[in-house]
Order: sequence, then C-alpha cells, then structure tokens
Amino acid sequence: MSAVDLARLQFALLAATHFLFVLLTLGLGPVVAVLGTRWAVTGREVFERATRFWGQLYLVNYALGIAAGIVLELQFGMHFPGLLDVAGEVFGAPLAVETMVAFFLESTLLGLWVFGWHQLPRWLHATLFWLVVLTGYASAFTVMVANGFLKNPVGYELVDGVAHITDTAALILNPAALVSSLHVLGACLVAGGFVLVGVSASRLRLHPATGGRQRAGRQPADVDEDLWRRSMRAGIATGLVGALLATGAGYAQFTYLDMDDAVAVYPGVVGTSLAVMMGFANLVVLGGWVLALLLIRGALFRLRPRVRNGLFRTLAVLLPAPFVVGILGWLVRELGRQPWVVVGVLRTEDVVSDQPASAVLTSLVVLVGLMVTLAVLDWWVLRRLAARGAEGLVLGAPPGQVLHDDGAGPEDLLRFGAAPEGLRAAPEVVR
Amino acid sequence: MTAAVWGVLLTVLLAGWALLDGAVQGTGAALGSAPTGAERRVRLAAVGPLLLAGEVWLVAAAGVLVGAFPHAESALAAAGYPVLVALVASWAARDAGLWLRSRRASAVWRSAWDRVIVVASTVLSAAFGALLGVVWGSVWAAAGLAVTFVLLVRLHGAAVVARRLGTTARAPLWLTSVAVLSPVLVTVVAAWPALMHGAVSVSALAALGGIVLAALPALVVVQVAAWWLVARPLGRRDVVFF
Ligand code: HEM
Repeated sequence: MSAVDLARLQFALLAATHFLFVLLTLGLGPVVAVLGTRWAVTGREVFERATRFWGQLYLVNYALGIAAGIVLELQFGMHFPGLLDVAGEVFGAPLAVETMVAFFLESTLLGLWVFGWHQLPRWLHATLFWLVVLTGYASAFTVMVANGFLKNPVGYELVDGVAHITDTAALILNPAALVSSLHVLGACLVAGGFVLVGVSASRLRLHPATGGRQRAGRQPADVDEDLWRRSMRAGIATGLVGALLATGAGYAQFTYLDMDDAVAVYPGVVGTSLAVMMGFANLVVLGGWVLALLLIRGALFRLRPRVRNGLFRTLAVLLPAPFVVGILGWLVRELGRQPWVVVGVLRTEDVVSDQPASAVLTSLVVLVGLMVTLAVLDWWVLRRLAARGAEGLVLGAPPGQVLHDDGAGPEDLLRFGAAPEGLRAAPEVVR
Repeated sequence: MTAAVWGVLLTVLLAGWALLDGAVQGTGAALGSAPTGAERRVRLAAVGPLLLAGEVWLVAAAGVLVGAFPHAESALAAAGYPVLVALVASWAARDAGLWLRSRRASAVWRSAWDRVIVVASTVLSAAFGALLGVVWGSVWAAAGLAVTFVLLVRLHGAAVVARRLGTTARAPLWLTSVAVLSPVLVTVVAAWPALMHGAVSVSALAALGGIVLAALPALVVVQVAAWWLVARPLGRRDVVFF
C-alpha cells in the first residue's frame, strides 16, 4: 500500500471508531436530560436511578469518544497538510469554532454536572445537562459544516490556489451541512433508541416480575421494573423519532446529491451500503410503529411470557445494528466523494503529506491498534455496567460510600462524611 | 482580532492546559506512590474535576492552530510527527485509564489500569515537553524539555493534591504553577515570528474572532465554576468517580 492509501485507511478506521461513540452520545443525551429534569421536578426515586444509570453509561461512552476525537483532530496536520494549506481557512474555521467554543463548553459543562452533583441546586444541575446536549449538538453541527464543505464546496473563492471564505451564511446553510446534520441526528437517535430498548429488554427479562414464566401486571411491581419499563418506552419513542428523521432527511439529500457520481468510483461498496441503509430505515420505522402501538395500556409488558421473552431477546440482540448502519452511511458519503477531498477543487492524492509509507504504517498500527483496543475494553465495561443494572451506581453516590466500598481507612471516611464502622458503634456502647 | 491577538490566545490556551491538565498528569504519574487502592482513589478525586475542564484547553489550542495558523500546524506536524503520535496515543491511554480503572471492583483490573495511568501520564508530559523542543528545532531541546516537563508536572500534581488535602499552604502551589507555565511561555516567545508567518488572512481571523469573543463570557463562567469545585478542601460534597 502507498502512503496515500495508508493515510486514508488510518483516517477511516479512526473516524469510524470515533463515530460509534458519537452515535450514542448524541442519541442518549436528550433522554438523560429529560430524566434528570423529571427527577429535579418530581424528586422521585425512579427518575434519580434512571438519571444515574443512563448518565453513567453516557459518561463511560463519552470518555472514549473524546479520546478518539482528539486522535482524529490531529490526523489533518499529520497526514493531509495539503488540505490545510489550500482550504485551511474555510475548512479550519468551523473546526476551530468546534474546539474553541462548542466542545470546550460541552466538556466543561459535563464536568460540572458530574463533579458538582452534591453541590449544585437540583434545577441548575438538570439545566447543566441540557446545556451539555445543546453544545454537543452544536459541536456535531460545526463538524458537519467542515465536512459539508468538502462534499459541496460553497461560499468561498480561490485566490492564488488558496481558498478564502466569501459567504459565511452559505457555508453554514450548505445543504451538505444542514440536511446531512439532520440525517446524522436521526441516525444518532436511532442508536440511542436501540441501546435504551435493548438494555431495558435484557433487564426486564431478568426481572422477577416481568421475566420468567409469569404474566406481568399492568402496573410495575417495584421501582426497578418501573425504571426499565420507562426506559423501554423512552427508547421506542427516541428510536421512532430518529428513524423518521433519518428517512426524511435521507431522501432530502438526493435533492442536491449526484448519486451517479457517488457510486462511480466504488460502485459495489457504496451501492450496497446505500441499499442496506434504506432497507434498515424502513424496518426500523415499521418495527417502531408496532412497538409504539404495543405500548398502549402496557400491552408490550403483558404479552404471553413466551412471546415476550422471545421478543425481548431479539430486541437485545439487535442493539448493535444502527451502529453498523451508521458506519455504512459514512462509507457512502466519504467513498462517494472520491477521488476528491474537496469536490471539484482538490484531489485526495494531492494533499497527502510526504511522510514515508513506513512512518504512516507505524502510526496506523500504533494509533488504530490502541484506539480499537481501548474502544473494545470500553464497550465491554459498558456491557458489564448495563448488566449490573441500577445497583451500585457510582455516579451521584455519596463519596463516603464509594470510598467505604473501596476499603478506605477511618481518616478518609471521616473526611468524606462517612462514619467509620468503629465510630458509628461507639454511641450505642455509651447508651 | 489580529494574528498577534490569536497568538496570545494560543499561548493562554497552551499555558492553561499545562496548568490544569499538568496537575492531572502529575497526579497520574505519581499514582504508584500511593500504597492502597483507597488512597489512589482519594488522590484521583482531588484532581478529578480538572480532567474534563483541563484537556479542553489543548483541544482548543489545536483548534486555534488549525483555524488561525494552519501553515504552522502542518509544519509542526511534519517536524514533530513521532512526537505527535506519542502525544495523542498517551493522551488517549491516560484518559481511558482514568475513566475505566474504577468501573470494576477487581484488584487485577484496577492495578493494570493504574500502571497504564502512570506510564501514559508520564509519556504525555514528556511528549508535550518534547513538542515544545521540536519548536526550538533541536533534539537536545526536545529531550531536555521532555524531562523538565515530566519533573515539573510531578511537583505540580503533588502540590495540588496536598493543597486539597489541606496538608500545605498556598505558596508551593503558586511556585509549581509558575514552573509548569514557564517552558510554554518561553517557547512561544521564541517561535513568535514563525507563528505569525503561518497565519491565515486578516478577514478570516476577524470573522473567527467575532465568534470566539461572543462566546468568551460563557467560556469563562464555566471554567471558573470548574475551578471553584477544586478550590476548596476535599470533603463530603466532592464526587469520587475516577
Ligand atoms: C436509520 C437509518 C439510517 C442511518 C442510521 C443512516 C446513517 C447515515 C450516516 C451516519 C451517514 C453519513 C453522514 C451523512 O452523510 O449524513 C449517512 C449518509 C447517507 N444516507 Fe443514511 N442513514 C439511514 C437511513 C437513510 C435513508 C432512509 C436514506 C434515504 C435514501 C439515506 C440516505 C443517505 C445518503 C444518500 C447518504 C450519503 C450522503 C452524502 O453523500 O452526502 N439514509 N447515513
């Protein structure tokens, strides 16, 4: 393989890894925000548990997502310097806004949400997460503005071979940024929906009241069952809204895309991926409506045990599907752009750095190997956390309790407000 | 905003990262010196709120490089290629270590991640120091600054943790803060002419500047709130997550 191919492969693999995390961050975010708000308003335990459970999954997913994003950000300078030299001003501007404003706010706000848990008033705490979602979406949009420019370059002029912005509004309102952002948002909500539904289905199957051979009651038997039923409902709604959005915006993309050009260079991969994506969306819309209808009077939870167990198992198994389809979507977009990096302006082969192939291969092995290893470990942890349910959550737990579970000494426990065993026993002895 | 103002912004972002994330790196690199698991966790809790609020500064600095000084960015990437690979790889590994270590109770799991955190934090500070050295254009500068930065963040991390545990006064923290900032400041001053040469057009700088200035109040408010979380002694209202 040449240095060009290796650089492209490296970027594609890192971008795909990064995007798998993004799908869940953006898809789960609004649901955590709603749950947190309902907890702040009602003070009910089921919403507290739900916020902490889904919030913890959100965090562990987010953490690796930004690590992968950071690795990706440096790929431009390392391997595609020609892109920065020619289009740096146009392509770099939205990325600069992303890193300096949107991501900066998103990450700091999320840190406040996690670490201000025991200090901030509940309403402010709930508001913080809405701001996390908002800035997260803004962050995704700015990236789509940069990416949209590559697909459909508008609002610029070339002077002495360097692109300058002439029309900021055109750059932002570019359909390749705006419509595609809605399409990606739909894809993310579908992914969030599948995770909510899949995890809730597994939890319900193991629950004494809904699992096994019994028929479940109309009302949830306890807080735990209430939590998973609510999560299931939230997941069905999120997934259905997402699928409708992805479909609407998906077809709207054909108004400005030339699909003949898109399938020209890689007809097999692009054509097949597109077909799979469209078929999948139809199935999700259909399945989403069926599940939504089954929510009427809680019928979904009261199906005959055999039917219910089979259905819930299927829903759990389907969890990875939207993630696979999301990657196929990116293959359509990115491969469909070739041989151009900026359509009609700049060819991919002309922007690659003159690092020798051996150096690019080394960085590919190091960075991709590392990121894939970390990603797999992260997904494994997410799976284990999901399987543990709402027991032993660390997010939002009193610090003394967490350290107590870690076997901290009396001095540390006192500092964090937990009475060490011996001290707690003392007054009783006196009495 | 002119290229010079952008240069100052870049300097502030790099210095801010050294100060905030430096504390996390130093604490991570010294994690092995805490004898018990609970003590390690207390130390991580002391710097916990600085992780998300700190690493965004270097991401933003990279954004300023791409947006305002793309030519400087591609030149730096060409000269410092292996150092950059080490920097992003160790950064990712350090973050994964911090987020994942306490997610399972197994002692093997935790001690394996603790090792990752120690090594990755050390490599991260070394790589940043070396990258500053690349700007100076000599291998010796790279090696020297790598070692210097590793040592300085160790002291800085220890000072932050001690301060939060209430075992020192404020003075050592001031000292280590100035110490971790200084290599960054000196390097930017030396590289200033080359940096200005790599800037994009004046109109682009102005447009970008407008957006950043508009967002500045919000950026400052959330950052100050994050510092407020670590400005007090560690206690019952803190969160132990890492
Ligand atoms: C739930 C189902 C779907 C998912 C998860 C999904 C996901 C994605 C993603 C992540 C992308 C890359 C980003 C982008 O260009 O927006 C993409 C691209 C694309 N999708 Fe979908 N999609 C789905 C359904 C559909 C449907 C129903 C259509 C309708 C025709 C469609 C048509 C396209 C096209 C044409 C592109 C390439 C856009 C370009 O080259 O600029 N997708 N999809």
